[in-house]
Amino acid sequence: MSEYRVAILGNGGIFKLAHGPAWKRIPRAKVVATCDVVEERAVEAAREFDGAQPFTRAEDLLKRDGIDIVDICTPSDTHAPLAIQALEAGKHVICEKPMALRPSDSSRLMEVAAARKRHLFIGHTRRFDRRWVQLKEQIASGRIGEPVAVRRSERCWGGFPSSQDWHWNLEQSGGVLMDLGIHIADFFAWLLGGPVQSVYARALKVREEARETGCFDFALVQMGFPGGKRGLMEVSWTHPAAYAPFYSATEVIGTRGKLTLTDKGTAPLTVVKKEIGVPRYSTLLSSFPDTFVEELGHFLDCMEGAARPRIKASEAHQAVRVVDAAFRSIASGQPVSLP
Amino acid sequence: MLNFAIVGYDHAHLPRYAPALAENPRVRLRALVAPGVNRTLAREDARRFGAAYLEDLESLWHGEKIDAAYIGTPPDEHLAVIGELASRGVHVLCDKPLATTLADADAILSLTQRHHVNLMVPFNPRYQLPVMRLKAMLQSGELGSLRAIHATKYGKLPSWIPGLDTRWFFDRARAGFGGFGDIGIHAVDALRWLAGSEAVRVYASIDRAVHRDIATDDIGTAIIDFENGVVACLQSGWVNPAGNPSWLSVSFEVLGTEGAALIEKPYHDLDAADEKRMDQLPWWRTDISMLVDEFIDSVETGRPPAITGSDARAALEITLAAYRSSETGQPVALPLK
Repeated sequence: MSEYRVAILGNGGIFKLAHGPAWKRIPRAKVVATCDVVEERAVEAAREFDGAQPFTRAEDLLKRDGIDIVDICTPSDTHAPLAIQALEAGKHVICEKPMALRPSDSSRLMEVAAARKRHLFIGHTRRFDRRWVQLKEQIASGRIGEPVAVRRSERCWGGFPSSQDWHWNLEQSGGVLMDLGIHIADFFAWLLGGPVQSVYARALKVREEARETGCFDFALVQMGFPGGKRGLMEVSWTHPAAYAPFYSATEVIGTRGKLTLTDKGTAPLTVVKKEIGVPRYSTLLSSFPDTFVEELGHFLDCMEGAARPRIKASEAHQAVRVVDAAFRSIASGQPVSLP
Repeated sequence: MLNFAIVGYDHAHLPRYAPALAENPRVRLRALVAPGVNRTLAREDARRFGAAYLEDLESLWHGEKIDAAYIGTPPDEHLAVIGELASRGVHVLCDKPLATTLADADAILSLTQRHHVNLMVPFNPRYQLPVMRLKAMLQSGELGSLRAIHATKYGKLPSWIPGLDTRWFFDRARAGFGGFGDIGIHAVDALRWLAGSEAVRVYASIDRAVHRDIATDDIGTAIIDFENGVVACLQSGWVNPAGNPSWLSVSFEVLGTEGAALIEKPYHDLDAADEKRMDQLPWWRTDISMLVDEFIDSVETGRPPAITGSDARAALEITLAAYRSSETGQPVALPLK
């Protein structure tokens, strides 16, 4: 088994929560370089991996020899430009979602990967999470007949993003629609197996941060698929903090049955403390970093030819198109058709 | 004490309203007028409740003076029936939808106004305990300012109701809608009530997607904007599978600036399982009896009921707008032109 030499661009939130811990659990990979615009973060990250070298500029890192894979964990607006730089430097790329903030950028990214004959993997982690994998398996088993309606809420209960977080910069993050909505856009296409044909969306700025920055923190998006199939998503950064750090609920209606999955309904452990408050359900529900171990390991399998990608770059591009259509629908007040 | 009649034995709610009326201490259930397809059941129930079974409305005027009636005919007959009842001074508890068209609804409203009779449409969620509590919390400001509501309301296929002929549900000319409107109009009223504001815009997609063998739609998804800035989404229809542990599934998830509230079911219930299936059995269900009591109170005290004909017209208008939106693929502005 070959050892993959990995460089990680961006050593903030998702690196600390997920990618960093996950790479440590993948024996066939070795993190050889870290990079962050904040030098201490890069240095601190490098310290976690034996012999890793910290950088503050991606250009410098990409000049270094002995890197096979660049893993991009930076703010969303830099995903596409950094990925293109890395591909052009001859590296394979694993990139956090969203692939890009605009379809023209994700499209260009695919072209560069094809031209350079390098692997490009987008981290749509929902496809690797055992909860949703089981939903997909239940559908595939035929138990509920044909799935015709998928509904999903993803709510960050106030704790995320914190007030100073880059996520509140719409130009950097794409707001809650791009951050959480991109997951659901891909998830719906994955479960219903078809391209989104129409998108209608409404969004709100509820939290003070949202009103100050002009960045939506709540959205409802309705999607039409061929044959009367539909998806309805709610995404929120604005629910109260006391309930759970992250809450999700999914429902799939089929021609012969229904699947329902909520974090609360599925909690094997509920914690209640002395202070008056509500039980917290998510203690054991977090898929960090197990799902990422699965996801990153799968990408390595794909590079070895041992697996076919469970998420293709073209599907990640499709999700960017859906979220982009949602933004256009919010701006115009009209539904947007996707050809 | 009110002399009560039930007119029509077609609505799916009848198996609940008939006993609720019969058991109400302020009601004398005098007659069941049911010439329709469920006449055998109506005749049996009339005997059970000690009421007369009548073949036609005309016969109702031969007995004791009738004060009030519950109407359970298919909605395309509401205007004709209410015309007859109102002109005789009978107060009307008319099951939803009020009518199949806004023109019929307007005619019903003017008839009941002209004859000074009360008209109420029993939208159950308004008297479901968690929804009532939620409304009180919104009114008190406990959740801050309301911003969004995410609602679902699912039922099973009406043809699965044992003992009741429900074929009219699958004829849009008679029922007004298919599954989305049939189930969803309750939630539409609740959304308008909880929002405390009028709907200004609806976008919806309504299809027959779940059942292959019916002539109407069975699922719909809508996003509704209210005048006060509240946005709501609603998915509803005849989508619960036969094996669902409850007939209905209801949820209202509410986001306010100071808090959120989640309603996951309409009734307090317990789980009962045997070797074949699991049922969620309500042990505290207040809606039917409270709706009947509210209607009686309004009649006895001569005040408008808590759910007025105008409320029912508004819910109908929003629902019709949703169908129009689905047909055109465009959002529809309210009020309808």
